[in-house]
Formats: sequence, C-alpha cells, structure tokens
Amino acid sequence: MASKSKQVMKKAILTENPVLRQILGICSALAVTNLMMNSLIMGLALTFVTGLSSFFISAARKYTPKHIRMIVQTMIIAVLVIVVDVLLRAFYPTMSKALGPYVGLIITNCIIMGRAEAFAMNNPPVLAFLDGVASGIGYTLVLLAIAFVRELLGFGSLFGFPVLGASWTNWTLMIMPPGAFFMLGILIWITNNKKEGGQA
Amino acid sequence: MKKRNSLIYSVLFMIALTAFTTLILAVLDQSTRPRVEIQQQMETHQAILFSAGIESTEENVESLYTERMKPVAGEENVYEYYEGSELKGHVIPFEGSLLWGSATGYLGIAEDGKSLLGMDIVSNAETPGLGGRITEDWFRKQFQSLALKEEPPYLIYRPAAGGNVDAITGATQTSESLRIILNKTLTEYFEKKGGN
Amino acid sequence: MSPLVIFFASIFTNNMILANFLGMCSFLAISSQIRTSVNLGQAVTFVLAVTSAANWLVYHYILVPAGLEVYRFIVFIIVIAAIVQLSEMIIERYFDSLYYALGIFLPLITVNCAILGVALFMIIREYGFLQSIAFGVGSGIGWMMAIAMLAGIRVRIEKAPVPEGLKGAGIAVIATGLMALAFIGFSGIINIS
Repeated sequence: MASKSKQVMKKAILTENPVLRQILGICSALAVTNLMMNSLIMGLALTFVTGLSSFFISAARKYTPKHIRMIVQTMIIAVLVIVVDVLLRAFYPTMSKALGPYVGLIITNCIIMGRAEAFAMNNPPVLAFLDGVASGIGYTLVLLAIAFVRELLGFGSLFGFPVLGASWTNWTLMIMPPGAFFMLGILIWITNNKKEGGQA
Repeated sequence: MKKRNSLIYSVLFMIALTAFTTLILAVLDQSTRPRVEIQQQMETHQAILFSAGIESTEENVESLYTERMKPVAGEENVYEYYEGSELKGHVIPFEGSLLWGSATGYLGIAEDGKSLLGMDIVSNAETPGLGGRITEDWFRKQFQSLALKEEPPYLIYRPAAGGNVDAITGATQTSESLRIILNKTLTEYFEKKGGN
Repeated sequence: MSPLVIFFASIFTNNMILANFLGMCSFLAISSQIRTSVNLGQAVTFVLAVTSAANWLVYHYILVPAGLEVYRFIVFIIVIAAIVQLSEMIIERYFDSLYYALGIFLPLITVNCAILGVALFMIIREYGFLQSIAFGVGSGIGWMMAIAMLAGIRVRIEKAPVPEGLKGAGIAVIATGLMALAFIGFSGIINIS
C-alpha cells in the first residue's frame, strides 16, 4: 500500500505532470504567473480542489449512476471551487482580487475532470486523494517555475522581495501575456528534451 | 446494479447531492459574509482616508473614519473631511479609462481649492509593474498637499513647463490618461462649486 | 461605456486567448486546420452570444434578488451546459447544413474556459445587458480570429525545420506568444471597462 501510494504520487508529479505532459488545463494557469505569490496561492487552491474532488468522487463512485456521473463530478468540483472562492474572499481579500475570475475558472480546468475520469472513478478514496494532491502539486510546480522567471526578469524580485537590485532593468515583456506564452513554450521544450535524453 | 441506472434513483441521487452541497455552501456563505463585508468597507474607508492625506492601519481605520469623514447628503460617495470641527476639504470619487481598462479612485481637495489633500486608486486593470505602478506609494503620495495650478489643467507632469507631478517612466499613456481623468474631475468639481 | 467599444476591445485589446489565456484547451487541440478552426470559432461565437445573455438574465433577475450570488459558478455551468444541449438539438432538427459544420463541436464547447470566463468577467466588470452581449459576441469573434490565425501559422510551421522538442504544442504556444506580442500594438486604441 505504502509503495503503491508513493508510486502514484511520483507518477503524477513527475512523469505524468498534468500541465507538461498533457498540456491540459493551461488556461487558468498562465494568467496568474506574473507573480510567484499569486501562482503559489493558485496552485494551492487547485491542489485543494483536485485532492478533495478526487476523494469525494471516488467515495461516491459506487453509488453514482453511470450516465449522470459527469454532472455529479462537475457539481462536486464546482462546490469545492466555491468553497475556495468564499474562503479567499473572507480571509485573503487582496489575493481574491488579484486572482479575479481565475479562481472560478478552476472548474473548467481540464486536469481535475481528467483525474476524476481516469483515476478516481476506478480507485479507492485515499489513493484517489493522493493522486489528486500529487497532480495539484505537479501543476503548482509548473506555475511556480514559470512565475519564477517571469517575476525575476519582469520585476527583479521573488515573492515580492527585490533580489536583482536597483540597477536591474525590468523586462516588461515578461509581465505581459507574451512572456507567459514564451515561458510555457520553453518549458515544454525542456521537458521534451529531458524525456528523450532519459530514454536514449 | 440495475437499480443504479433507474431514473428514480438518478433523480433522487441528484436531489440528495444538491441538497447536501447547497446546505454546506449556505452555511459557509452565511458564516463568512459579515467578515467579507467588514473587509470591503474597511478597504473603501482606507482609500477615502488616504485621499484626504491620512494613512490608516487596519486597527485605527474605523475610528479615524468616523472622526474625520462625513458623507455629504444627497451626493453619492462625496465626503467632507474635518479636523476637529473645522472643514478641511472634500473627498470625491473619480472614474475613467486608462490604457487597458477603467479605473476608479478618490481625490481629496482642500477647502480653499488651491491644493490637493491626496489621491488613491481603488481599482485598475493596468499591467503590473508598469502602468500598475499608479498604485505604488511614491506615485500616490505625490498628490498629498500638492499645490494645484490656478487654472485648468490643474495637474501637469514634469518636465513640461509648470509641471507639478512626476509621470511613471515607461508608462506614458497610463500616466497621461490618469492626468486627464483627474483634471476633468477637478474642473467639474470647481465648476459645480463656483456655480453654487 | 458603449457596447460597440466593448465589442471591438474584446476582439483586439482584450482578446480572450491572447490577453486572458482563456479557451486554450481546445485552442491547441483543434488549431491544426484552418477550416475546422473557423467552424469551431463560429460555434464558440454563437454559444457565447446566447450564454452571455442567458447568464446575465439569470444572475441579475434570479441570483441577485434571491441573494444567492455565491452559487453563481454552479448556475453558470448548468446554464451553459443546458444551452449547448438545447442549441445542439435545435440545430440538428432545423438547420441541417449548419449541424454538419458546427454540430460536432458543440459538446466540446461546454468545457471551453472562454465561455465561463466571459460570464465571470461580465459580472466582475459590472456590465449591463447590451454590454454583456457585445462582450460575448466580440470575445467569440476574437477567439475565432486567433484560432484561425494560429491554424494558418501551424500549417506553415509543419514544413519548417523546428527543433524536435518544440514540435507540436511547444511551437504552437510560442507562435501564440508572438501573436499576443503583435496584438499589444492595439493597446490604447480602445479601452474596455
């Protein structure tokens, strides 16, 4: 059991990383990656939703009628996203404002539905929960990697702390949308090369 | 197995799920709503105070606000600013389009009409780190006790002749749009005041 | 703000894909042929026009009076899914040729983030009814334009010597970045609020 959990985690974080390997769910990812802090919170919110939705979907899988399972899954995911939204608005209003509609868009994030269909429907709740959490962490890592470069070059800071000094000229391009597209492209390139190198 | 796919079971299942989740959300919403409202109110009050040149913390914002600010009857979002019993100026809202989207905020004007008390941006959609720097302290604080020009345009960016404010380097369009909005707001305010 | 301004702004300066990153799932999957991209774009525009109106009405006449704004995510999703189903049925029955062009794409659209994104943006930006429709239609056309252009670029790229690791999604994303860069040139012409 323990080794199986570990294997599931490792597979979801590294080898089957949701964003990189499946290029799913990048919609809501990119818009918040101009700051490390936004990306971290977004990643945590997503991990929370993927983990718990996998858990509940798996727990209810034996009682869910097959032909309405999609709407049941959507419902569970949407409720968890609302929970995140309400909590953010109550306890972290500035972040809630910064993330804007992108919290709500977690609902349509393809990763969550993907994990629910591919894993949670066929596995026990605890394992499904781990799989969901691991997918969320893998997603968070990608967001943070993109945000690291974008914030460092675009603001000269990390998590809001200036690190590059006053003489650094900010790359405005990095903060604007094209910067996010370029970084994602480069990240896909790097991982594709890594994978080939590993296989050879 | 057969039962699970029957229509009645499906409908009952959905009703049960909906009822359960609705209940959870209703409880969560009710329990956090006061907190959200207090926070929103605090944010607005801090912006209004900042526009009158007063910096407040989460602790003293409400007491400062009730002590110094008085909403003007019949006008939405217009406030009188008092120090003791002396009327020092007015805080008025402004709104308009910047480079990427609309912005809203408050502008504080001294009672003699010769200077500003301050300015604060409540919402904007500018690029962070570029036009978005209008919300940074150094930019907003320039407007505190700022001597206005005697005639419109009341605000001019340096290094133009007679300039009294600094624009944001690299965000010329955002700065310029903001200046136009502020000048327009001021002109309207003085016209109305003169007309009374 | 005039609906016309919102319409053009949502095509050029606030493009759903290029400025807001919305609707990328199907964007990358479909954009390898110009013809299918345009068809999908038309379907998205149609659905956006109808759902933005429906969601606006539901939000302002049902959710707000009842104080149930907190349920808006679920309600929007249900409204979108229902409308997509309904329009699929109507199109299949009465507009045969249109069904062959758009029909197969309609189910795909329910999960397109751009649809929910438009609904959420119009609430956050406090649009009126006409503004919301203009925003919905404009966003759809902007989306169609971006996906058709990317399809055009991808057809050419297929014949170009792209590094192995960048082939497929990688180069498509970077091409989208270049398009986004070009669209920044439109900034300041029109504003959205």
